[in-house]
Amino acid sequence: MRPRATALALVVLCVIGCAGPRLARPALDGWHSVSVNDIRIIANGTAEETRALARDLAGFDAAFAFLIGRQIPATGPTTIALIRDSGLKHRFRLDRGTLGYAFTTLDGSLSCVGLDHPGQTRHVLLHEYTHLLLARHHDARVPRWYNEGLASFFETLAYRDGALVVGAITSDRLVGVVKRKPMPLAKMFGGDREATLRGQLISDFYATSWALIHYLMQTPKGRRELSRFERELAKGTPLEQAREAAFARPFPQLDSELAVHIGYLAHGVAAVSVLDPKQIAIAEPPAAVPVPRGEVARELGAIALALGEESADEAEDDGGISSLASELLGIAVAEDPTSARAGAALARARALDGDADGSGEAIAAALRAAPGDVQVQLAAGRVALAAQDDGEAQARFRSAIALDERSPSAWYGLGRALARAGDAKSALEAFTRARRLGWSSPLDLELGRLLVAARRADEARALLQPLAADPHGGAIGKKAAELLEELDAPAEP
Amino acid sequence: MALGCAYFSRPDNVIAPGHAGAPGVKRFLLCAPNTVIALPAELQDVTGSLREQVDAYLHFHGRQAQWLNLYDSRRLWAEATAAAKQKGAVDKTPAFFAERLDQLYDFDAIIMPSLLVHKVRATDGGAAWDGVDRQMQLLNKPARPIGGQDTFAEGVAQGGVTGDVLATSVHVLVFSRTGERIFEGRGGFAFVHDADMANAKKWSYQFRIRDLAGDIDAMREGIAIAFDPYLPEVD
Repeated sequence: MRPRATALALVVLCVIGCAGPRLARPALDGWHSVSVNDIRIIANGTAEETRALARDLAGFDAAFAFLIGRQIPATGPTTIALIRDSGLKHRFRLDRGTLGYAFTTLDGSLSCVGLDHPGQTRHVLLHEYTHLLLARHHDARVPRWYNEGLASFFETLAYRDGALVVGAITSDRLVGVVKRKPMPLAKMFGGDREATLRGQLISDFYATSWALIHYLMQTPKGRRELSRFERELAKGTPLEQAREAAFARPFPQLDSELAVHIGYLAHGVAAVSVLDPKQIAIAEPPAAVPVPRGEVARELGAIALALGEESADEAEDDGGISSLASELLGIAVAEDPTSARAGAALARARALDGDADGSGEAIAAALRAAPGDVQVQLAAGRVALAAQDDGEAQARFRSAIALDERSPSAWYGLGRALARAGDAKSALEAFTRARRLGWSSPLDLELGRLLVAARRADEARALLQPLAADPHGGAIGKKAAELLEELDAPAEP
Repeated sequence: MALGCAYFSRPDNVIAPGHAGAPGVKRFLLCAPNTVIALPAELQDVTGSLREQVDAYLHFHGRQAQWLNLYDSRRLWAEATAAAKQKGAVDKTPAFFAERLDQLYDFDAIIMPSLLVHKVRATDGGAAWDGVDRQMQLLNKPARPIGGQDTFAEGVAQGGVTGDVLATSVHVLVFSRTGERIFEGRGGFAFVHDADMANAKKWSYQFRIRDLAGDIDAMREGIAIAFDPYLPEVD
């Protein structure tokens, strides 16, 4: 009987189709959440574990502000999900060497991190969080070395023996930087992808980025220089000028200072920043609270949906993420059938997953239940976009704008619908309006594309260069680089 | 034979004459672990356990222990270094340090404990250093022969890792109330990593950080060897 039952189960699975194994019920149980400094942490762990992670983030914020000399204000809500369940991790692509990732949408910043060994989880969480913080500089061309160096420096922040320690060195990194010697800084600052991210150069680039940040962080002068560099970039100063203004010395001098610092590290000098928690303002997170299953499904579904929509725009999703979003949001709706927003999100997920009928039913129900909810109108616009119904999409996004004219997502959606309909001028206006209210890399790509077409080269470069330089830019970064090449190509006679 | 081997790998702990057994010392002032010696980031979570176990060892020997936090330890040591440099005698830093501590705390001697990370030579997964013998743990060891061309992974699965690997030792420095160095010792603790053979078919194993904070028995053994003969190890 047993072989026959197994065979039957396999047939059923094949017939219903499955982009991935269905979620085991316990995967969504036992979650806790806590908010600190406008960041919501939702973790697949105990209340104590969750609060400890919030405490690490609060310590990070305080240490970052203390060492860099200022805070980078939030530009929207931030949600970080920490996942322990191995099946769920796999579905969120937290495997095969990927321990975490972060991305910014018009509706907020999102991050997924695997919940494993506490030290490792903390490293990944703080690394990704640094990227999210730097992504708040919407108009800055933050160079790759700075982004990665700062993230690698702050990822090892830890409470130890009554103090907050920043900048401890991992054994691997020390061995790497000492054995391989640092990359010349002129190359690190100015080299393109080819010169810095090929073969062994990748690890040299990352190790040198970290070492330079580590060196500069050791003294008030170095910290002032880093802070100045970031401030200059944030106000739009071109990279080379920002470097001149901040570091004010030639590359060979900086190279030789770095070599001396690495020599100290090689001799075991404890070059770390040790801060007294009593002397820096660390927010005390409240106790973590249990999160009901439906809410876990809604939060994770929202992340999967955002990830899926971004991937779908760039043809990166193989269907796994959109099917995960559908599954999670289906659970959210089943747990709370009265939530129009959950229903609207499910409609978006189904549209993404290619289920046009299911999507239509879900969005119609959500619109009947809450026609005056901007999130529902936005979802209806996105569903219409997915269904190639540009007229309906425009109408829905205009309704969303009527409800909240400060919604960047509504202006972005309207811009996409207009661009699809061939009205480039109105689309450009809508994207520009969205850009004043928020930021996301797909928005900059779309806007950049229209600016390239309009031959507004300087404005296009300002938007596309940071995307092309983003170390985690993926397909968007590549497309931005292609558009920049197009821009630089000689005009046809 | 086993006793002989253990004796052979004993560390050369150095003690000033007349200090074996720490005569007349009741109250120790302890600096936070790794105040002046760099601690790799991956071991930062281990110092809490080290404090607890050193504390327990001192109490076992009937001594009192008072700990400084890391911030104060580093600040006071940095001040002492600056003062010593000003006098042109950097090697006198411990004396300046002890003098400053004496103004602030009541104690008979100062202990500076640290975790050291260094390379040791492993043969078939085993290595001996600083008074201990350890066998590296193999995780996800294939239940069946690996087969195919993966003879390297097969060898690791059968015999263990051979080569230079990272290991930890406990290191202690003891200073008198006036900053005179009266003892320096070290005791082997554990390998930093386990070898994970989950991907054995890709011709290799991966090192995974061990939960050193939870390896209390190995840590206690290392502490006892590191303190011997100042506070002698008890069989």
